Amino acid sequence: MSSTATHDDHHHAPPSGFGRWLFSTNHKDIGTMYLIFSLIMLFLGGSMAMLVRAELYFPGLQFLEPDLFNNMVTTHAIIMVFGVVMPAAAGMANWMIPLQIGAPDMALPRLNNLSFWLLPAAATLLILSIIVPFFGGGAPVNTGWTLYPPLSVQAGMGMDLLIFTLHVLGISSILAAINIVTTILNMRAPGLTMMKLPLFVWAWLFTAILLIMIMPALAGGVTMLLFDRHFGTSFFDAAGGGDPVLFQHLFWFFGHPEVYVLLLPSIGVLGIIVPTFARKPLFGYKSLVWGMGVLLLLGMVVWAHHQYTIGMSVAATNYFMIGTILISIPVGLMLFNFMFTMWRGAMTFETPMLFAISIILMFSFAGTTGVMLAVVPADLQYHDTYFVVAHFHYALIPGALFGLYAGVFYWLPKWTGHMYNETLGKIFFWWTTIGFNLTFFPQHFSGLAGMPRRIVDYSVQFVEFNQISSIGAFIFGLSHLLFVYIIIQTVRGGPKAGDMPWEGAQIGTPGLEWTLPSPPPFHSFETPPTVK
Amino acid sequence: MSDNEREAALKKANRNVALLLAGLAIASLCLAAYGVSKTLAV
Repeated sequence: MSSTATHDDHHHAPPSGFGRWLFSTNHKDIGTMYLIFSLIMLFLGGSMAMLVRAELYFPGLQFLEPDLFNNMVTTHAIIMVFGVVMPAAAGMANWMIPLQIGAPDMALPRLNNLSFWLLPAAATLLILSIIVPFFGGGAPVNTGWTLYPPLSVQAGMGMDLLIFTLHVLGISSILAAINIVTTILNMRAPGLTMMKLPLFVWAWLFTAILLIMIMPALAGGVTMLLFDRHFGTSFFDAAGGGDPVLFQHLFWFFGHPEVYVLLLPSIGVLGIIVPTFARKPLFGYKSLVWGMGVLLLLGMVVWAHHQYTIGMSVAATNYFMIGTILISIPVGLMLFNFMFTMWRGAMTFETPMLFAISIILMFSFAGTTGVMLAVVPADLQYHDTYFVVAHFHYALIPGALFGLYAGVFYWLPKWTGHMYNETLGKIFFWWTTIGFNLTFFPQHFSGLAGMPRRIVDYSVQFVEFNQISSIGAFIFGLSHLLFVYIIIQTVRGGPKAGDMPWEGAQIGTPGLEWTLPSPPPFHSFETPPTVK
Repeated sequence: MSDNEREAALKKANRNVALLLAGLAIASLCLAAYGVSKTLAV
């Protein structure tokens, strides 16, 4: 092929208009779209949580019918997992992985476009699943995000739409994951060996591999559910020779590793932020990489600890209990590595670092309640109570969401070319942290006292705990208006950010994003940089 | 190796890795199906 005959797209100016976004193959534009999509879904899923907490402010029925209440709980969870945390982390990956490894773009840019644009389609299906019951579509989806049969077999048309939603989301996730792994393996700058990669890139490599292995199990499970609902099969129907517990195994084979899909990108963000603001190289970089690998393997083989109450054999129960407790070793290793990185560091406490420290503290708390829940005789008491709700919100809000907030504040100057307002950032940190703890800390007590989860009404003995939770939830929810304000303010202007706005950013195993101006040009690293 | 040749080789390598990973996803689905068939057979 003659080089003069080839058309080089890289010298075009950014396209304009709607086509720029619809047909985009640019990793930065697609990353931005992922982040905006997740922010919109955060408000949608958050509004549902507000409705749930408003209903639970008093015992008895206030304004939500029980089925609609359970539908809100279900859809809130699915939106937060698939519509907020995963797209936000994917948006960050799209923005940062090519920049950190010195690649001009993702390995498969058109696939990248498809991965994103499947998401609005899935969101539309999800919203339709909420709406159809109001127009004669049968009972709302009231199963919780686990979609357990036989309840999910009996639900109305909304369940079919939800199943298709999960299919579309699954395809989007698998395509995005394939793209990310291929980019990391093939597109690194010359000289950038695997053990020189920033921890965020390593974290996403493990996350993407995990996604590729687990999403098909969910897709298979919900397809079987669809067949049971409409095509006369009995995979999960005991009367026809099937077994509803089988769905639980399929779901949790996906569902438990999914927790690590949500957590690992934030661990990667911590691996960037803590050394920057402690001004010390990351303590035990290699052990952190190996620890994430061990976490991936262990996370794949402990799924049934979500199902102790189904009555497994003692041997199986013991295996899942011991396996689950073993997870505390790689997780503890990561948390201690971050603490040792801070030890005797020249620390400063900008907003990303405040989030990082709070994550270490609050996620450790989730780890402690996690060990409690791993122990079979204790779990039999805690199962399906608010103690579990408190546990996984302590794991996922600090472990996933706060990590993403930290990443947004850390890279916003790079993305926009402007520094955010540090005072407002700190106010947002304290506002959201106090609101979060006020919401979920009391739920440990209501759970230990026996309050069941996914229930619209409750005994009067739980009123105080629920009222504190509801007040906290509204404080937590409202704080996000400030988050949006800070982002808009930073995008529109503010003090100029230099190429490297954080003085500690070059310490340890930094990414190559700091070699570019802020904001980076539309086409970056057209000539691959060389890493020594 | 010219830029064009390098780009073609990179595209081929990307396609191969992507296909390998798609194979991993299908293998995972097969494993789940195998687990289902064994469970229902018991």
